[in-house]
Amino acid sequence: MTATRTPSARTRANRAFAVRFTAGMALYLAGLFLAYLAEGAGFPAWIPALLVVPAIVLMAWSNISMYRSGDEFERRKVAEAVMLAFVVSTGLILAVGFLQFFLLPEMNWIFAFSILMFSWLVGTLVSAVRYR
Amino acid sequence: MRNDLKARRAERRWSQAELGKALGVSRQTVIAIENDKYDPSLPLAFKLAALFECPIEEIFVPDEEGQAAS
Repeated sequence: MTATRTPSARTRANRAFAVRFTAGMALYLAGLFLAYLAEGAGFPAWIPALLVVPAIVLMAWSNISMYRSGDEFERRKVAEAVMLAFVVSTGLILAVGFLQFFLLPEMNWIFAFSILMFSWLVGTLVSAVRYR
Repeated sequence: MRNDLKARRAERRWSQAELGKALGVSRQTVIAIENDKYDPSLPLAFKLAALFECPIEEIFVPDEEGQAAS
């Protein structure tokens, strides 16, 4: 039997994901924290807030690498989770956006991110249950 | 699609992890294929056929409706 993928490949991919994603989150939080500090000190807050851009790039990179490191079945599970997340979040964001015309107050765009993350979590759970 | 992968693997006394390693996929993928939860791609099916030294159609049989399981 010839192995084309060592058992530790999955572990290495998980570790790389954890490192990149944590670094992205740390950068994001640092940007947020520094922006608040800058605002309090009278400096333009948008400069440290720009740290959110490389943070998002890091997080996106970690997710794309994770997807690419998987085999065809793992990729399928991720793709189905993302597809479901897209369907759920599109509906929710549309509903919230529509209700803002008549009922809901104006909300920050950051809520859309929360909805997306929540939908992704739901999609991941559904996909995991389906293929368990 | 149904398959007799579990029986063929047991015949050769391979573990799911060993088969996965030989195919370059995870143990979870082998489990999903064995339980008919996932139909492998054509390249992976060819790998399986080569590994078990038989034609693909001996391992994989279409469902009664002729449809794939997933």
